Amino acid sequence: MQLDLKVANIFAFTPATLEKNIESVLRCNDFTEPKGLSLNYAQALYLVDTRTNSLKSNGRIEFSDSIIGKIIYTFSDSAYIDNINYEDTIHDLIELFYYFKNESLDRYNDDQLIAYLYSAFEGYCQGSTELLASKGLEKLLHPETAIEDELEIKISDIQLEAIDELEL
Amino acid sequence: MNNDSTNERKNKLLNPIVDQETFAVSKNYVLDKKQIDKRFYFQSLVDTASLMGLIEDEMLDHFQVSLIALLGFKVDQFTQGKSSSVRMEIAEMLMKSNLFTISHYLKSLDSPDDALHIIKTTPLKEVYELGLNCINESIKKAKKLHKIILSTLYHTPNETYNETVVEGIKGFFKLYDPSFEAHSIHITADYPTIKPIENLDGIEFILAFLQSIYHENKFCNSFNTGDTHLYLKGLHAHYDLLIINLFEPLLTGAIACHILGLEVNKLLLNPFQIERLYTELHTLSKQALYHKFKESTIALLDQLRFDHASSKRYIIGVLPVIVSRVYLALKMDTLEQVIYIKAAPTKDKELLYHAAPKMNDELFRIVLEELSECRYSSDRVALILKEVKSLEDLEDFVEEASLSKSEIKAILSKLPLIEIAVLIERHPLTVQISVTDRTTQELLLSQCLEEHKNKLSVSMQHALKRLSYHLSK
Repeated sequence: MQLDLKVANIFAFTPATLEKNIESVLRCNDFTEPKGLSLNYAQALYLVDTRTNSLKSNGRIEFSDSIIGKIIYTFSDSAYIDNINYEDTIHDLIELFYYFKNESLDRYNDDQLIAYLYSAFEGYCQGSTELLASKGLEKLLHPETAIEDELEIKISDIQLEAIDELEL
Repeated sequence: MNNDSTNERKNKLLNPIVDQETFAVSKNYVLDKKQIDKRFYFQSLVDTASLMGLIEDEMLDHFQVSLIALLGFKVDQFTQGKSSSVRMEIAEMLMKSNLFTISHYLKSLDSPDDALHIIKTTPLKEVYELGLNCINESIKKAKKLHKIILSTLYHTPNETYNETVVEGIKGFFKLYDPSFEAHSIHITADYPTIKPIENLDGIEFILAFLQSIYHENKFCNSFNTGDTHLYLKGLHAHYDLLIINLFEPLLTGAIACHILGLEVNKLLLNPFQIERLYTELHTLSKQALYHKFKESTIALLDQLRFDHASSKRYIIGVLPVIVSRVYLALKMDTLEQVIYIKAAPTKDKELLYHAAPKMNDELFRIVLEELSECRYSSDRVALILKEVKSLEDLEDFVEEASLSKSEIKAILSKLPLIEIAVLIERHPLTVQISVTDRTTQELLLSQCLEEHKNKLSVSMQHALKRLSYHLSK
């Protein structure tokens, strides 16, 4: 037997760490159940799997299992999440979290990035993770363009109103 | 395997404190220092010990878990606890840094046996901390050594030497971060020492590099800088631009001088003496050549009153490099490529004339037209002095505007001495130059310059002579 010190290899999941991560996700139910949101064992396992795959595809390594918990705690207050779309939304948010983290070259720490995702999700995305995926990164990296986009939206609203008036 | 034993194993893996009874250390093993890779000391030590059956698989698992825990700790420090994940390349950098730091401490111990004993009995995080302290000590040592080197620098125009030894090393100390990049060198350290420094990273490389430079400088400084400069010019007229080791040709030259019974510190050899050296050495075997060179080196170091014991050891230690090169040159009959003939001393060119950009053609034509329209010579002179920006333009106007002798003289009287010196250098009035080689206007300019020079006071003429002497052609 030889010492394997390749960072990518030493992070292969052992059953023990997998079980620990699932337990950690399931513990979030204590906090979210009063809000009508809960996850079962299989759902927790899938979320841990999504996290692992996102880390791999983004070439990252994580030393704690707290990110899923942090995302759940933050987004459980969202007006756009119910028990039906809960699991899918958290899957998307985990993927977006690591993708944004990488693309922003780690400019933002975990809490800042989750806060941004939440404000965008609740704000202009209105609960759409697709919109967050397509517009969120650009707005994160170039906040100045956000003002231009808002202006565009206002103009298009005015145009729509004008069209409505014409139809009337 | 039952549950109890599984839990027991899990606890052992997760608990960084080594169970002394389980991993009882035996004192009967002997590891060969040569078997351990200097560059990846910890990994090599563990692998070698594992192959020899000195480390159990459980201990390897323990090392793996401890290293991950240490990496997690360093990632936390790196992100200041604000980010739970890092990019793979950052994690790899931190892992390399951790292993380098652990290895640095283990290498400082007397033997690989001691190193193995330490990693078996001490938590790796503690070994890491000891390594970090060791690195900080090495940094202090390297800074001190660099300071000594700077105060006893070998004065040479060689750019690579100056850039690496002075600025490069300063840059290293600015950039080196033992906490996260202990294994990095950051600089390229282009100047080559006689023996390349291999299998070392981070501060270990820099320390070894500085030690080599220190010893090599000691030797180079035993000579007169002017003599070494001329000897190295014999290697190449522009040796100052080459990436070469300066110590090697000097030591080779000194050995050659000593063998030939010449004055060692003068480094003065001629082609006949090199031929004589060839006759004397070409029949020797490599071993015999080494012994001859060693004897000569010891004797010449005494002759140079070189009494630094450690530097003497270094010089004797690098002799095989020189012997190999000379031996090959003897076989190929190319001794003149390793032993050089001192260049003849030349006057130092201290002044270099850089011409300002010439005026563009359109402007030149406009000025030329204006000149042709001027009624008075004084106007023409004033216009030229106003518009001309370089001596090349002046030369063109002398030619194209057909300036008269009085006009040229009037212009020359307004020029500073250095520009007169440059013009005299470019338009000398000597008998060797054929009249057919020059135009009438060019000859007129040469004549005016000569007359202008003769009209100057004695002190000014002397200053002009000195300027011409130092002017680079």
